Amino acid sequence: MRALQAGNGEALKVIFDRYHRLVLVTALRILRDVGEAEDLMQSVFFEIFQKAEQFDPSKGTLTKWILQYAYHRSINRKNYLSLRKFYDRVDLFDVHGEETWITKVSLPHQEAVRLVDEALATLSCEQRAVLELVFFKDMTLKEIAEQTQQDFRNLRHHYYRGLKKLRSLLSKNARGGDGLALEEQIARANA
Amino acid sequence: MHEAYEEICAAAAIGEADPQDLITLHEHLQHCIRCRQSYSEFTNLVSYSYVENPRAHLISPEHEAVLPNTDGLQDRFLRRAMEKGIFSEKLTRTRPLRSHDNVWSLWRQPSFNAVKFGCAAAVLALILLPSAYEIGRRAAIGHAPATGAYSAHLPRAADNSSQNSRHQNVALQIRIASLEDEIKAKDRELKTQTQRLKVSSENAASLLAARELLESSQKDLKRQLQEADQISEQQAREKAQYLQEVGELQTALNAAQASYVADEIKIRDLTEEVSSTHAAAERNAELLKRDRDIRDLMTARNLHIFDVFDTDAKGKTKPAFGRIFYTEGKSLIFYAYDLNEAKPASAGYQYRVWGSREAEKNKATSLGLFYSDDKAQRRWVFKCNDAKILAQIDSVFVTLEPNRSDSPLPKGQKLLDAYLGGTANHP
Repeated sequence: MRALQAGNGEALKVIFDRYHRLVLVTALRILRDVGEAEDLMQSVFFEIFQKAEQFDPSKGTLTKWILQYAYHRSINRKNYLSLRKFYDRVDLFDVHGEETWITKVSLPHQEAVRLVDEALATLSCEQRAVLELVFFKDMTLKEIAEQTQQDFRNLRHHYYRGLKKLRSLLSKNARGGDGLALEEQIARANA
Repeated sequence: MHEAYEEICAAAAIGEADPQDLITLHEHLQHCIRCRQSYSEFTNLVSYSYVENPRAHLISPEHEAVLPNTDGLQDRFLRRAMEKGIFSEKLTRTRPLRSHDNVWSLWRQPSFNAVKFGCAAAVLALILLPSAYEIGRRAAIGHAPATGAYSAHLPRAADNSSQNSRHQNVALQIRIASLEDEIKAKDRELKTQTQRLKVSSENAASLLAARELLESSQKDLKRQLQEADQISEQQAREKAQYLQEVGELQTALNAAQASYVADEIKIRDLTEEVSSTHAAAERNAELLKRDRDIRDLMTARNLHIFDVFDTDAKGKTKPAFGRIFYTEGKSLIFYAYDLNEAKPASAGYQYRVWGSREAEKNKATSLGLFYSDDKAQRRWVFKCNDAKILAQIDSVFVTLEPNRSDSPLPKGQKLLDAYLGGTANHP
C-alpha cells in the first residue's frame, strides 16, 4: 500500500490481481449484471489509486477497506440505474466519485463487530430476521418477502426499525478518527 | 415527517428505494441536515455489516461460474488504466521472464496483447475472405448479402471489440459526469470561501477602524497624562513652598511661644512681687493704722482699762479673763483670754458680746462676736467703734450663743460681766 500511496502504478496492478475478483463479486451481488459489475470494479480500483492515502491500517485491513468502497459504489450504482430506468435525471447520485451525503467515519472494526452483534441481540425476531437475510444472505427485500410470504411494506418497515435501532446503538458508542462521537463528526462535516 | 424520509434513507442504503422515493429524498436532503445525517449513518452501518460478514470475503461457486475470464478482466482494466495515464505502455508490456514460464503463461501476459490482436486479425481475415469474395461476387450480379446468414458467422472478436468500445464510451460518460460533479463541488466550495473571505475582510476593516479609534484615544490620554503630570509638578512645588513657609511660621511660633512663656514667667514673678509688695504695703498700712489706733487709744483722755474675772461659787477665779479698753463715746476694745474653745468648735456655738444698762438688766443689745485674735496666746478680741451704741450702754458681758442665732436677748450664761462707768484711767 505504501508503494500505491507513492503513486506507483505497478502496485495498483498487484492490488488488482489480488482483489479484483472479490470486488467483482461484491458488485455482482448488488447489481446482478456482469457488465455493470465489471465497470464498477474498474472504477473502484481507479478510485482506490486516487485515494490510497486515506487508507489507515490501524483502523482495519486493506481487504475491508476495499470492500467498503466496492459496497458503497455498488449501492450508488444500483440507485443510479434504478433512476435511469424511469427518469432522464441521472445526476442525483454520483455514480463514480464521492457520494454527496456520506461522511467517512472511521470505526475500529473490532468495535463495530462487537457493537453490531450486541445491537442485533436487542432487536425483535422479525427485525433481526430481516436484517440477517439482507446482510448475511445477500437477499433483496422483495426476495425475502416472496420467500417468507410476508407483505413487502411490513417487511420493509421491520428492516427500517431494526436498522434504526442498530444505528442508535452505534451512534452512542462510535468515535470518529479525531475522537469525536459519530454524530458530532457528521455534524461538523455537514456544517 | 423525518420518520418517512429516514425509512427511505434506510432503503436507499441497500439500494432498494423506489425511484420516486429517491427523487423525493434527494430534494429533501438538500436542506435537511438531520436526514442527511440519518442517510450517512444508515449507509455506514450497512457497509460495516456487509464488510464484517465473512460471506463477503468468499466467492461462491454460483458466482464463480458467471465471473468473466480473469485475463479479459485484466486486459480491459489495464487498457483503461493506460488511457488514464496510470500505467505506461512499456510498464504494461514488459515483465521479466521467470523460470517456470511456459507458452500459456507468456500468452497471458499483457505484453503479448499485440501478438494476440495480430492473431485475431489474421483469423478474422481468413474467415472473412471467402465471405467477402462471395459478397463481392453476388454484388456484381445484383444480390444483397443475407445479413441474417452472414451475421451468424461474425467472429466473436468483432463482438468483443464493440463491447469494449461500449464499455469505453460508458466509462468516458461516467468520467465526464464525475468531473462535472467535481466542478460543481469546487464551485460550491469557492462560493463558501469567497463568502468567508468577504466576512473576514469586513471584520478586518472594522478591526482597523477600532484600532484607529483606540490609537486616537491613546493620544488623547497621553496628552491628558502629560498635563496632569505638569499640574502635579506645579502642585508639588507649591506644596514645598507652603511647607517651607509652614516651617518658618512654626519656627516663629515656637520662638513666640518661648517668648510668651518667658514673659508669662516674668509676669508671674512680677505679679508675685507686686502682690508681696502690696501685701507688705497693706500690712504696713494696717500696722500704721494699728499704730494710730494704739496711739489714739493710749493717748485718749477718757480711757477706761478694765481687767474682768469670773469667780465660781466658792469665790475661786476662773481661768478666763478679759481686758477692756473703753474710750468714752468713741470705742470699745474687749480682749478675752483662755475662753473655753471646745464647745464653740464642736457644738456650733460662738461667744457673743452684749451691752446693757445697769438700770435695765432685762434688756441687752447684741454688740457682736468675739473673734480669735491670737491662737497661740488664746486671745479673743471684739471691737466696737459705734459711738451711738456705746452711748446707750454702761456695761458689757459675754455669753455663749448658738451659731446663727437671731435671738434679741442672750440665752447663755453671763461671762466676764464688766461695768463701764466709773472714773477714766487717764482723764
